Amino acid sequence: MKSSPDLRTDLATGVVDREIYTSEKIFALEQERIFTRTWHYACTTRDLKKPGDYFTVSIAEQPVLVIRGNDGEIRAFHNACTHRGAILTGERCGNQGQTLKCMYHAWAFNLKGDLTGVPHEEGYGPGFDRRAYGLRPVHCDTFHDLVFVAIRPTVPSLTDFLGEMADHLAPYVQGIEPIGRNSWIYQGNWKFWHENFRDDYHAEFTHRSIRDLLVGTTARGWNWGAAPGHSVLQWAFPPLDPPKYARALQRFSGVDFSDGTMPVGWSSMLAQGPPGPPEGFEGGPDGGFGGGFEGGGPPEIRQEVLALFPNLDIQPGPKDTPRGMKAGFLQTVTPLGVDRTRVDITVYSDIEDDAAARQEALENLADTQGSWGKLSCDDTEAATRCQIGVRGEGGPYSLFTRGVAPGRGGEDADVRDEYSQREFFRVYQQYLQDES
Amino acid sequence: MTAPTTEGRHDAGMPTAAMTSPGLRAEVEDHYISYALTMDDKRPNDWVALFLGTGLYAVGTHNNVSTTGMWWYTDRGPGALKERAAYTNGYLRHNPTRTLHTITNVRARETEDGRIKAEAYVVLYVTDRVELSRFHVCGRYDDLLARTDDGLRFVEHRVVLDAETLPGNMGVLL
Repeated sequence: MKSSPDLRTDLATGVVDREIYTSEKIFALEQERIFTRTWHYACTTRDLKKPGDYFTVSIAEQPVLVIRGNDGEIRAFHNACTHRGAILTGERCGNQGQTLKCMYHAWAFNLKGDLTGVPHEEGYGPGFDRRAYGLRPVHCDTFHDLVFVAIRPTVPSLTDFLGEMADHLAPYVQGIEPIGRNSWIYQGNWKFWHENFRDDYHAEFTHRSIRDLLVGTTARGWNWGAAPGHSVLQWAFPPLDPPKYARALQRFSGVDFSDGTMPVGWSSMLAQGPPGPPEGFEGGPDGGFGGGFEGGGPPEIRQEVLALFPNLDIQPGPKDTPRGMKAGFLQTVTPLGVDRTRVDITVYSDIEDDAAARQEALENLADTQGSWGKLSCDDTEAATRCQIGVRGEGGPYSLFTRGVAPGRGGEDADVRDEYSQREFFRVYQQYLQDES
Repeated sequence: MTAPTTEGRHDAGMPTAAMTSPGLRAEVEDHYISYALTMDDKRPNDWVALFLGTGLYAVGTHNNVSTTGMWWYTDRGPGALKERAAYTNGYLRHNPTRTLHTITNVRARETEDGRIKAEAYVVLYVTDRVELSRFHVCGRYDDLLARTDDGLRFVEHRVVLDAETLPGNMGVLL
């Protein structure tokens, strides 16, 4: 067992030792103590509609395969033949039929992971017991439409792991279906991306479009830490100012908007009408978005971003639009190295949507996200720049100390607070220092 | 999502290279040369001008396009096209990056309504401040062109990239 790192700060205070972004030793500990011990989103249940449908993921650099059996059960296994270790499939997803057969020596497994076929089996002698060579299972559970897997969970159930997020997440992830998927790689530590989904301090500065397209800023909102390690960002968009946006686009790029052509904005939102607070919207029964968190919610919340420890981000559509909660995207960050990370995005829609509605959802949701997106492209640049900067001796610590009120957010807090980042680092540190 | 299939391939009905008439190919290649220069010379207004006012620009990956129809973005009309040109020419927060677009393997045929269905391969190289010049992405064009008094213009310019995983900076025109 590796020893715990000698962190120079208590990360839970929000003063974060930058070594966590650059140390190979800490990266290895993260894989061992965080990524193998936590639940990870793998796919949705509708990625696995039929027996034999499978989806593959990598957790802590371990290949994992999730598959639906003939009995309807979803199971997860290490994606490695028990004979010589070859992965049973190198595809991201597909259907295996009734058998998982290794391409190397044709050992075959049924959908429950039992070893069912060994060519020339007699050569192993009379003592050979197939039961000892079934696929190694991986913990697997579902939360409504989401499938999670864990190599060695430290909590007994997925519900316990989700903690305060369970009730809040539930309405968003029922009756959804993936409609598009993409991936990209950036040169930076995995935490930079995940932190960003808990950060509403950067938005008005990193994203020129947020500053230019909106009247004012997205300052009206909240940043919540949700134990253990999760977060919710909420905000209300102010009205839009397309002429100001067009002038800014022209100023930075030289593209001529002087003929009165108006840009379309994110996700063609300008073409769909201004998204001001919905008339008559008064919030949920508690005056906000629902229970489970300190304080109340603003009365006109339109947008939320949820982040699950350690590496899942969920951004549903605005609650009060016709599609509302039933379209959005899920993003997972997978560490490839201390300074190299893959992001996988899944765009989903309501299972009731017809083809036209799905196409519209795809175009609208993909427009801002990804390494091509009108918003996420900026975030990728920020992560890359942070990675370059923290390598040097420009400062030993990064600050996540905004929001001086005690607790995890509340009515005195604002959207730029960093409660959720501190909640992440509180739990991150616990895992990292757990030598059990 | 299901596994990729060949359904929805974008080369249906295209002539082979040998069947494309030399004159038509030269006309389309000239258009693509002009198009590449607008991107590599950072002339976003000229890039927009190579589309009809009702033109469409869409980019996606082969896997998504052939299964779910997911284009990362679909820009329709002058507002969207100008916005895309602006984002990729200074509005996004990327460091300045030089690009070099190579457009090859042009095939084309005239349609019954007098337009041109064209297909080509595109390879993009980038050069930034500190790294060596490098291959960035490649893919194919699946285009519909119209003849105008000013030359060929895009009615539809669809880019299907051969990629399952993308680079971190795709804030580029293709």
